[in-house]
Amino acid sequence: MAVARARLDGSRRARRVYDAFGALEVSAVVALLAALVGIGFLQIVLRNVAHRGLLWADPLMRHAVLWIGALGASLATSRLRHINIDVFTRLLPAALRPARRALVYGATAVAAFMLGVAALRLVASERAYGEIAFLGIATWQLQAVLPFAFFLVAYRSIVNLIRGREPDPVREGLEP
Amino acid sequence: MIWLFFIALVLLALFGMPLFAVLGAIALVAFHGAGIDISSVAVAMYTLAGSPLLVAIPLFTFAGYLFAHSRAPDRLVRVSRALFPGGLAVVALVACAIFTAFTGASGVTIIAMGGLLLPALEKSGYDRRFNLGLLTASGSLGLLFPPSLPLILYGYVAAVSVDDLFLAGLLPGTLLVVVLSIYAVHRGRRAGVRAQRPSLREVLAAVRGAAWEIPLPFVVLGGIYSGTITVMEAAAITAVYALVVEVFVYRDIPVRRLGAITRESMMLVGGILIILACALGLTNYLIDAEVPMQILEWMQGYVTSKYTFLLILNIFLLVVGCLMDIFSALIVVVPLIVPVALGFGVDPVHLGIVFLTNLEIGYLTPPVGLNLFISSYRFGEPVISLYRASIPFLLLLLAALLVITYFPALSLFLVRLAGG
Repeated sequence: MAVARARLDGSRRARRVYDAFGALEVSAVVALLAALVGIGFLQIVLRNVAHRGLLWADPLMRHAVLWIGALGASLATSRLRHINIDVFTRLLPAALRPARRALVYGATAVAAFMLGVAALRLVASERAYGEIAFLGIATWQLQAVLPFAFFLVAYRSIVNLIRGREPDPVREGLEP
Repeated sequence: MIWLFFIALVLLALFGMPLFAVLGAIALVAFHGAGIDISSVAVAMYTLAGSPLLVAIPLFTFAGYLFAHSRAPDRLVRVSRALFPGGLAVVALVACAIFTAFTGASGVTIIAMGGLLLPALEKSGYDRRFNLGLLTASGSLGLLFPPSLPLILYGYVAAVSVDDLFLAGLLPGTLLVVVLSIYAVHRGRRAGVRAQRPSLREVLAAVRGAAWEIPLPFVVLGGIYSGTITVMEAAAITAVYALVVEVFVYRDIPVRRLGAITRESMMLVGGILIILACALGLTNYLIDAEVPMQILEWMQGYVTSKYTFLLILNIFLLVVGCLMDIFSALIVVVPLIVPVALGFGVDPVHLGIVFLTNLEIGYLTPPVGLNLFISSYRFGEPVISLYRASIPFLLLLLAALLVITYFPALSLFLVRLAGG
């Protein structure tokens, strides 16, 4: 583990890939939320002033929520900010912490990877079906964010494992 | 073999494995074991894109983060002090309740308001232990007031009208604030705290200071209650309003910080939605397997009255509330409990209010109630001293919970009045 950590920290390319995914997702989330706020407001104005709305606005907003949820969840992994129950960690002696991380982060990576596989199968079968959701965008293209996000969650969980990161359940998530 | 797997997962969950991964793994194995393609788990996830109600979640969360990172908490406290009589402790309760209703229930109230209120309360002469208990309890006090996120999420998961829930929460929510206020006034008298009467000049200055924020609750709640706007539209209006007012009018938040605030708030949204996504498949599976019906039949063997059922439910939910945060508790437990409660003749709207009150109390129940840890971090006090400080508040809230549970009319009166 220590060797892997040293190699990961030393490798500039590994770090660059990791950061690039993060930056990509943050930009996407910011753009999606801006669209959600903007279109949501425009829709209200149109409905009340011009008494008509944009037909594609509703499905677009609903899918923006799906994308924000998936990408937000994947970002939350790198900050160890996922909601958990965690009753016992506080009671654990420091010597057992690495074992806890290996089990918990490892299991998370496996679960997320399998969820990604399940999502990929959905996308593949939807693609064969070829339905268009709105504005010429195919349903499978909208669903593609699911496997993308789950595979990233798996990847980030492994990075967390190698880097040996511990969450701070109270401080995290409350301050920028 | 399969039971060993489930036990291992539960153990991992108790050691901090993210809940979505636990639920997702159980769903995958359950579907696979039943001979159904695992892509069904993903089919259920995609239904998240089918609900206009869920659009409200990122919008309200974003608005809440904007308020929390601006100086809105200062202005809110100042206006509440100017307008509400009865000592600073009561002001703190009212201001925290309003703030929580508009910012969701992520513990942000204690962080944003506590730092202002604790020194002010001490200066007024209340004793420190009382102040700590008060602020810890206030951290989740506004949960039953619209447009709080847990109400919306309950409406989605239980398939109950959110408009009804917004009406149903008003009286029980007020009851909680009133009960704690009476205690606060009593303690204030005993400590010899004098309610200061603000000068007319201060009242005007406070109102003028918050002039841009005061209309928001009226616009949003007026719109929702009059039926002119939907919950989703209310969320969009709140987000635009918060953005314009905090960034461009008051300029509390520089434009360059918007990216970081968006990222932070959407991580919370992602954390909630991914649990919902993973739980949907699992609950579909459990409902297909008629698990809630089996729980109901089993319970009916022991419990015959609706009121005994509600008492057992309260105890169960208090335990859930001190182990799980409110969002995951709603997502995981509600789909299983609602059919059982219906079997005992409990109204699903009333159930929602009972549910949320329990979870609200769970936030300050030792040993793991989240508010206790947030307060401990925010005020630099050991958790043990917060346990002690919040006990009187905990007992009062439990008494109020009994009233809310056994007088369904308190929740349902306004709903029926509105013709729901």
